Amino acid sequence: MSLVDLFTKLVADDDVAIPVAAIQVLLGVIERSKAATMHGLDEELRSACTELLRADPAMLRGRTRISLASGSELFLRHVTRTFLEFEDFERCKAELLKRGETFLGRSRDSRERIAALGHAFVRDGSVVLVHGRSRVVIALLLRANETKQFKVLVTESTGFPSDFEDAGIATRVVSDSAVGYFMERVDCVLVGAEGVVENGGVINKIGTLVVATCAHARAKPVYVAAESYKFARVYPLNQRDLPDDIDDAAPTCDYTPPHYIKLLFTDLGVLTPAAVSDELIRLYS
Amino acid sequence: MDVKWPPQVEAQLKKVVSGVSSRSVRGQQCALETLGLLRSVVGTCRWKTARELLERIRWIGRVLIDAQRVELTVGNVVRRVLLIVREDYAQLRRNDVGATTTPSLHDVLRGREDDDALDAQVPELRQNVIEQISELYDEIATSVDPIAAMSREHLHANDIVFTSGNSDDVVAFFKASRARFETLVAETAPSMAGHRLAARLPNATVVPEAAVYALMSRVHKIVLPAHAVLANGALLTPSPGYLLALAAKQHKVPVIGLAPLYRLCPQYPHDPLDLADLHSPQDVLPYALLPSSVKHDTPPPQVLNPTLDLVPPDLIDLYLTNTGAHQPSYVYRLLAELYSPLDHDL
Amino acid sequence: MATPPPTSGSAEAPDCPNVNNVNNNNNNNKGPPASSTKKATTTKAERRALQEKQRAAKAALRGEGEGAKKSEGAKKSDGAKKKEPPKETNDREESPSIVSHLVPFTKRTIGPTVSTGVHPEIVSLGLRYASGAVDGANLRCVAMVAAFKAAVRDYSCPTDAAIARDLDKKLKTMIQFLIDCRPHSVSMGAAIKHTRAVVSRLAPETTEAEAKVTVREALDRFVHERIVLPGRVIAERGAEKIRDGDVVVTFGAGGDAVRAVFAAAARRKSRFRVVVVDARPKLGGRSLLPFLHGLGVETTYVLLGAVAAAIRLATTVFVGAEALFSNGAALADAGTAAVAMTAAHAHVPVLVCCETYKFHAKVQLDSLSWNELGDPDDLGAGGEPTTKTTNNRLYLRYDVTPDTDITAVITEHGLVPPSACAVLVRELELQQADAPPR
Repeated sequence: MSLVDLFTKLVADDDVAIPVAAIQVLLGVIERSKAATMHGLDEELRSACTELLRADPAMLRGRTRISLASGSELFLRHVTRTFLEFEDFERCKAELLKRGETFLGRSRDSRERIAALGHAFVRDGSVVLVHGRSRVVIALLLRANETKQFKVLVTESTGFPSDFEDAGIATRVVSDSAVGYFMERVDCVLVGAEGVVENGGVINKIGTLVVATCAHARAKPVYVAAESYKFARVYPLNQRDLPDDIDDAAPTCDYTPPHYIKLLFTDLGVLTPAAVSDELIRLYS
Repeated sequence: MDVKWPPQVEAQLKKVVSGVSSRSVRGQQCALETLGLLRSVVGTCRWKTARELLERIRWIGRVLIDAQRVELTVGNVVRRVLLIVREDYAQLRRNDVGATTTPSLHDVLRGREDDDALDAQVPELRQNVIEQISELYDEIATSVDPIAAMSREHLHANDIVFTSGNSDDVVAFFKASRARFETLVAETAPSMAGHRLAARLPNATVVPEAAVYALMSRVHKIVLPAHAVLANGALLTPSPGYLLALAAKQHKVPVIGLAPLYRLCPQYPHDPLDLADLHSPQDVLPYALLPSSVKHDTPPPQVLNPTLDLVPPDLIDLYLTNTGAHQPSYVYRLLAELYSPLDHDL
Repeated sequence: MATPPPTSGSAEAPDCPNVNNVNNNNNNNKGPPASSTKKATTTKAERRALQEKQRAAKAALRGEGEGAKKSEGAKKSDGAKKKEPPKETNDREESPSIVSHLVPFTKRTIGPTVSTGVHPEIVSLGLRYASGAVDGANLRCVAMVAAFKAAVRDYSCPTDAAIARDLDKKLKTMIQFLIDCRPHSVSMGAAIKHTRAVVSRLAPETTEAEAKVTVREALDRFVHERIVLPGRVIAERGAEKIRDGDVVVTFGAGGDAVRAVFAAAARRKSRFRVVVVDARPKLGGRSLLPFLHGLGVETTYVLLGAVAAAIRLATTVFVGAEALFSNGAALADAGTAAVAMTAAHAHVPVLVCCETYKFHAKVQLDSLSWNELGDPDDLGAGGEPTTKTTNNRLYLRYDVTPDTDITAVITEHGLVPPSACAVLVRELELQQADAPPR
């Protein structure tokens, strides 16, 4: 089975995040690798990454390649650092596999961990505006629902109010154009992310920028819930400066600058946008 | 906690709890007393492993925090000590010190262990921790000095500086400056702490809160004392700090917060009223002045007396700490160096 | 009769709050003993003794703060005529440099006695101004008009004098007296301007009786048309903006217009809560509470330091104003601007209730270019002894809310944006220029 096929198969499971699937594929590469040196293994991994990135965007279920790129890059970086820790190649390889398994096991928990951190920010009696269908956001609100009562407004382009209704949360679908109208009664905005960029901004489903700008104008906080493997080494200056695969004719994602974001809930903790760049610097320096 | 405490520690605990809950002991004094208590716990209690010690310290922390939720320095000091124990333990075991600091992206993939390696017995731990606690005690006791020394950079001749409350840190900060500047002090009704502060300063004028906005166009700096600094960089300061900061923002006047490190909390503010430290409404409106309810069904006025203001980070320009001057966006970094994320929830 | 010195402009256009140093009571006594502030029968020896006593008292007070008590009765030496406080050698006496351009508060400790030319009701009103018993834009204006009416009623024109000119002279004396007691408000200024215009338009052949009727009727009409009727319109327009479940924030005593709004809203049976934000030293909000309670309105009461908490609950803010300037800024009791700022920051609409007679052609950019200082002793911290080491206290009476923090002004013309003030002032000017003599 080719790498891409393997990846597609993994990603078909709705519950698996794209970067996690990518890392799983790369771990497979290590396992099967016949390379005898770190350099050799590194090259194999890099060509695997390139192959994944060249794959058909359709299999990404409408999401961008950003999270795929960030996950892969993170893993490659981690591999490089592990090489520095261990002198012996075989030991290093074994260690990588072991850690990889742990990571995969825990990645499923990361949503729960983020939910545990972030749900306290949803206060009893508040109104939360949600844009973009994010499993982390859903997990967070379900967790909040265990101890609090609140209302959720879901934008029409996001759809799937059942994600919340089924749990007994008072939910309402509002048209995307009506976001301005409803913003004065909203207490906070909660979105996920395709990618978290180097300055703490996010790339997310198209329309996030509109919602965030409107929220900012009304002094409503915007919170982003995202796993740390979505942190990408990208520093967009504006919408034009986004990764190539966002089709200008029909963009599926936009970039929200850190200025509009209050806090990010991640498995590394609750972070301010400034702290995100710190994390990325620490990893990649 | 199902464990025995030496009588000396129990007595000390009772004393500290009593002082903290009655608010007779606050701020720096509170931090120091808590630290003294923890030093006794480490020194005189019987414990074998780091895990046991951490559990004991956490237990003490929870008792003290329950005694007075508003006194955030208690939790901070307890967390500092917990980090001391973790780091000392790790060092003595020759582990990577990074094992106990904030999780980083690298750790995510590395599969950092949480605290499952704390069961070894390390005999030197007790002495090491006690020494470090003593160092921390000195640091806290003298934390105002480096902050006061920074006044030379920030307060200049002919400045007009606005402040409020009656903080020792503010007094020290002003007195350390050799420049001749004027001070305006918001009277800080209903406690009138501002009047007491102004009496301690050489060139001060008391103004009612009502004049804060009016005067701001001619003010050069705002100096606010910190009751606490929260994880997002927000400042918890005596009322009317928020008014001062917001008016300053409108008039482009820099706002400086005096924040010794023992006042930095790893908590986020979820509900501003939680932290408002409500005092007796009687101070705001004496009962005698409530309208009589004899004729009408209308309930009497609801009276609120919040004494602490939460100032969001975008209204603060600079925090002066005992390790230097920092922007509010840097607070998360300071917190990462002071506390282990495992201890954020005691 | 003592003529006021030209700098203050009080004789020509008393509706302008004095931008420069307000006519100090000291500057008055240039004229002969007919001045309003001197006992006609004081002997020279008595005056000398009084002067000595005051000089000694002043020396004792040196080092205690800027509110140096100045007495009225003594004939002032040139030194005291200086508009700034005398050169200070001691820290204690300097006002903060911020307000050194404002006239320091002067306490009227010795009541001026009745002298020729000033009607006793005017005297009594002046003292009530000075003590703060009569305060607030509308109240001061209405009280002044009532006192004018009494003075006109008892006025008798000397046989050889032209009635318009003589009455105007008498009015000027009375006006000056009131200003000496306390700098006049914009509302008073508007009434003064109107009164003097009416008087100046009296035809020379008018009899004394006719003149009195004309003037008194004109005064009544002024109050009715510029204060009472507008108040009713404002009340209704404002009440329309209060809906069931609303939480309305107001500041201090509120003022006539704001109270009328609440009364109208209560009459409409709207269920709303009022949060009264109050500030020292005036604490006017405490008088608003029983008023609201009487209307059956639920209230919350906080001090200005807690305004952020109040605004978090609020749907709208209603405040009164002393005056509205042509740049759309509102002059109001100190503390109002802070409430408006906090509300604007939180996107809570701010509505200023103000009758157009308080609209002023002047512009004011900040709260300090002109302001009035109150008695610093009012800021005493209750129980704290006044010793030599007591700090200076600064009591600013007013502040200026910028137009950017005001959502709308409610006037007798309905709701207008703050930018409309300049337009309305201009319209008024044009109207008055065209007004036929009445």
